[in-house]
Amino acid sequence: MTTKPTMEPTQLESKIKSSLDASVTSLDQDTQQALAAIREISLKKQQHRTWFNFNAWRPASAFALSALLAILFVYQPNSLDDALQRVASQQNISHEQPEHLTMLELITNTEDLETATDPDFYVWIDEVLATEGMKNAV
Amino acid sequence: MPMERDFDKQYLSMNHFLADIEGRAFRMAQIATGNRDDALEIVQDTMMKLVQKYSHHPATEWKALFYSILNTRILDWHRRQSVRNRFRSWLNWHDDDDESIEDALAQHPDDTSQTPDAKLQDNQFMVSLNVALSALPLRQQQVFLLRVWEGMDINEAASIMQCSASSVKTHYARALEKLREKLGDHQ
Repeated sequence: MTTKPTMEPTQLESKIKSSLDASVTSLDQDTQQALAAIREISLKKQQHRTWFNFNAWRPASAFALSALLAILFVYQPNSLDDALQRVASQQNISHEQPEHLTMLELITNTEDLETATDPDFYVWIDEVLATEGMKNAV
Repeated sequence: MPMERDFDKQYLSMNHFLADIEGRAFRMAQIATGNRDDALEIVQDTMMKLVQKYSHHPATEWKALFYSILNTRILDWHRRQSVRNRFRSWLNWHDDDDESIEDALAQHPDDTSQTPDAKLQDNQFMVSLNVALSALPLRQQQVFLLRVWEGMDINEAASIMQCSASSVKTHYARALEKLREKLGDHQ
């Protein structure tokens, strides 16, 4: 009766490992190129993902939010109304004279600077005020 | 810009990691499927998922994550094949030109850097090893390759295989026994 010579497990393991390693190093060119192409495609996905990643946009988002808050803090929407009220009280214009308040609002409105600098505008104001004065007199 | 530098660093690290592991991953998938194209597809899916989902994880975790994905993909492939084979046998299909199971010789890469005798011996061992590994049940095959080829300890292999350490020990012992029986005379 003959018995087959057998390797010890550790010897067998190391032989299997080296044989598998050799099979990787001697992979054919086509397979190596295919693997490299697959890797390249996968890494491109990483690039795309990173640009859409929230972490990448965090500093820009924080800056935009800070800028918005600063603008809202400096140019509060009520601040223009407050300025108008202050000028109205200085000029002794009360809420019972709505046409005067309207004129004042037009003059103090920063968005209508072109109107306020137009001489025809003041001529028109005089006419309106004169007409209103006549109506009030009647 | 620091953010771009971090990205470049991570890109290079991932590229290096994948370049190092891709050959072994391909061979594992090839042994498990017996088919080159399916093996390449499995490796591609694995790389894609690792890069897309886990590239922000620490590099030290990539290896375990990679093999975890790879083994799941191989398992999925076997399930699909099992369903397909059942369907085929149900319809009584006979596909003589089936290329899904390649000859073990075709899996063996060509090596021209050895003497003819050594090359012949190694070729014979490699062919026998391919046959023996392919014949192992999938779980035994995966555990064996992770332990012997990747040098993972029992707990690492258990974590990747999502089973207990004792299961890993059992699978490994059975795989080793079967391989010893089949390859014992290749000295």
